[in-house]
Amino acid sequence: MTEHAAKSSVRTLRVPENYRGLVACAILFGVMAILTRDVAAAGNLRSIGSSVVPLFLLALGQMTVMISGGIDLSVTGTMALVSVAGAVVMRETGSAFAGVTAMLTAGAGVGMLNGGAVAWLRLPPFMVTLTSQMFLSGMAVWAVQSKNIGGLPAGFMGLGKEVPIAAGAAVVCGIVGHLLLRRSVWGRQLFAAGFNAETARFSGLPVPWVRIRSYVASGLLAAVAAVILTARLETGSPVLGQRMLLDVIGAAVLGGVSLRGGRGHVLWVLGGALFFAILDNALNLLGLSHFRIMMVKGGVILAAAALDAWRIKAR
Amino acid sequence: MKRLLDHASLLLLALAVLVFGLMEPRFWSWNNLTNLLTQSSSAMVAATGMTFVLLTAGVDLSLGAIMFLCAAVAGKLALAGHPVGLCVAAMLVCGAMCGAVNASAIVWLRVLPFVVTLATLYLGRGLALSVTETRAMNLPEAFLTFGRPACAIAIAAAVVIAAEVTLRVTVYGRHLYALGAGRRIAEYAGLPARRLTFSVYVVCGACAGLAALLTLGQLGAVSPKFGENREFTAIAAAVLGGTSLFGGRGGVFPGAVLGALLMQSIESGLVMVNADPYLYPMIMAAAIFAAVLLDARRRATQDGHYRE
Amino acid sequence: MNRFCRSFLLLPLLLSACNDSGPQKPKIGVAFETLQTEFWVAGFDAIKAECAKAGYEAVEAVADGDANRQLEQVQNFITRKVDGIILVPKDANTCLPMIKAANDAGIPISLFNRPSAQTDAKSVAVVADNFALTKETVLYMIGEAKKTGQKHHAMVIMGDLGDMNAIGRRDGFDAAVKEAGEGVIEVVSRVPSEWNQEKAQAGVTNALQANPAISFIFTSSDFLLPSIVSALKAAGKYHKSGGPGHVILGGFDGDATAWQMLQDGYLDATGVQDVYFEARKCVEAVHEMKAGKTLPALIQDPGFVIHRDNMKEKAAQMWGAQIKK
Repeated sequence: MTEHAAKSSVRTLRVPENYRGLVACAILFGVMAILTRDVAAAGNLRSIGSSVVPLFLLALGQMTVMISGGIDLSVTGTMALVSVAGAVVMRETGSAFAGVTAMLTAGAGVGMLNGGAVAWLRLPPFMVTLTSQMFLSGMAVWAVQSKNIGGLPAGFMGLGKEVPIAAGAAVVCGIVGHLLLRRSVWGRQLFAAGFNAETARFSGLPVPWVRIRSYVASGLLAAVAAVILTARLETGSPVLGQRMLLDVIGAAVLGGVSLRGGRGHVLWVLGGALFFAILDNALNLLGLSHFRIMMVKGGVILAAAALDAWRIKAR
Repeated sequence: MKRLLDHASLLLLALAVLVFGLMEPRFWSWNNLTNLLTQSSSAMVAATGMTFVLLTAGVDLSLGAIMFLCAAVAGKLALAGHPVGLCVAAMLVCGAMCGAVNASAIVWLRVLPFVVTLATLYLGRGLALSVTETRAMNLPEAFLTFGRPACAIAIAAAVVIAAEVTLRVTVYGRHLYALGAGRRIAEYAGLPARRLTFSVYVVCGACAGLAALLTLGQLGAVSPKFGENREFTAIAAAVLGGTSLFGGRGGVFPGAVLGALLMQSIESGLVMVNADPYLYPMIMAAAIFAAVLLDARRRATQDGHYRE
Repeated sequence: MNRFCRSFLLLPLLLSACNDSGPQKPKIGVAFETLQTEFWVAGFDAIKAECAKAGYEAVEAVADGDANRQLEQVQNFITRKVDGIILVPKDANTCLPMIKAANDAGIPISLFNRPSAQTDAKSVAVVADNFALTKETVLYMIGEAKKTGQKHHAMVIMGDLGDMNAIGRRDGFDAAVKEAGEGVIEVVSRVPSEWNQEKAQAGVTNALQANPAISFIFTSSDFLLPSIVSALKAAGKYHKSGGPGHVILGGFDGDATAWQMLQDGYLDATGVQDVYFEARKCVEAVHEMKAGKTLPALIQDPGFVIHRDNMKEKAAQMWGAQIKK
């Protein structure tokens, strides 16, 4: 994050790398607010807040996996299974606590399986998580025979309804994630393994465990996102967040996380997720249909990636 | 043992055919086998296109979206009264053009294929939904001829043979393998890397258009979910057939064809033996996983170490 | 963080301080789950026409099968301070928070064609009696089957089981078979389509492969008919009624494809939902709730079964026959 002296004339405009995404979000928000006042309404800010939280959590997990050089395509399948499992547990026991515990455990378990296959069986992450995606969403649908499970305990539903609780969970996860990534041994090992796995192994790093931990983190975060979404929809659903996979990867990529591994920061992911959330919300308020919004998202990803590639070349 | 592992997918296919046939003899009937080939024709063509891209260590996540767009364009033209021939030509042109868009961004903007095709996936689906106004379109009956066994199998066979010949016999094919095996080295050796990379995405796009035609032939209609997830099944089929995600290894025949047939026979077999439909995705996922696992074991014993 | 960044981050705070929306024409937010069938398209157009008649501007949103997106769209309607919401729920449970959000904001909400699950939240659902209508349709089909004097192997194509309507239709089918199908009908195949054409087509094709003797098919929605026709043609079983090898075919909804097939003699019967009635009642309900009236939670769309014997008289009421292709 050093400033280049050659660009002294525009030094005041240099934004520290980590905050670029958030600045872009603020600019976007500003532009949108000019186009439609509704964007800035208090109720709408809450809407944006509630829709960014699950996306941020999932993208955070995705980034963790990407830093180690992998990818996790199974996050939406994990969410579906977790949602359904939690709903069943809560219906049987009537306890929100039991439900949430079951959900988090299930998410971590899925992460273990993914990580194990990638690290111990030495299988390509793309294929492993692709098959687990198919398996998990199939299992979720099979477990409830396509039916949703309603009638969840009131205590649980409060988790998703009140934006402060969901946002609080996101903030906690973000802070913990940042500390683990940047201030802990685990984090350093993760970056090392992603940067150059062979060298890391020769240096004595337990690369398989590093990888497994990243998938467990992804699974766990997917579970937290599932808790929030399930509570928000008041339903255990086997198709929870089906369309979110693209947005999750898109948000991570938009935020600047490299698919080749070795780079990533919590704020980047926040920037990417927030950008998508504001885009979705504002364009919706402006009356754009969801498919036009899809096209805009695609254009944004392409533009951001092209800008990034151009910047790297220009340096 | 190594020889066995070499042909993991072929073994699994033989196993599937055997087991399903024993459980339900009608599986072995000529009628059913023809059906199998017909139903997997679209997947074969899609997997063939994807193989070209995978050989260069790239990926095309927008395959399903391109299929949808081509189908939407054809549907609109057909319902406006244009002849079927024109619609088919339009589909191929549309597919190739989408592939060219991908190729341009990858080659000239120097963006990773994963990211480019992710973006074009969004763009393509959004555009197609906009063309169809998110409504389903029922196409004229003429399109159903492409779903007939003779026609579908003939088209798929033609594509597969053309692709296989190109890959194995021509200089272009050899260059593709070289490019995938090591990009830097290939460039130093004087290979026209950019042109090669550009071409494979155009080929993949055109194959997507053809695959869309074959699917249209069977469904007779375009719905908002057309082509959804087809890129993943194409990748799975290619990988099951022995194509590496990292480039330089694989093929169309038996490769992609084998992968597509394996996936389709599992699907059809499960229906024939009246298995619980809710179990299909899980069994399919398990089968793909098994094939990937066997393939990795083979490469591990062969190379001695696992390439990341 | 330098000054420039800080000032940019203040921008959203400044802007949230000023927010206003001036006087506009009264709006009704229309949130549909999908437009992928002729029924939904017809419903959408009918609702928009009714809104215009009642002096409202219709604001559209289509969720394309995603409940989460639908929730966000409803929340956006609330932000835009619409005067009413007409919702087609993705399923009976996920619409509950949407209804509650509308209640909290004091915006009247009515449900088009699909009911919600049991709840205290206030809304008006305009639905057809899927169970009774399906049962009546299938009973007619069984009557036709009995006329042939043979035993029939039957296939039923079910809808998405998260949709109460699909469950009602499945139960109606089973009830009819139980009541009148003894000795005549044997159900050999149940295809779950999840309201997806590709799944339906694959399921029907493979079921015909496994049971070539199937001669009685009921589909939970007419929009799946093209897939069924394609599969029947491939199996060489697509024949008009009156001729040999005719497969007794029945559906639900009453769309234009069904009307055409009924006229041509391929389709035997279909249960028709009155789209215009339902649309009108939805808009009326929102209008009346806004004026303060309390309405029953459920308004029944009578619907009727159309078949070859009453085709001529009932054509005028069938929306599929009214739509010109």
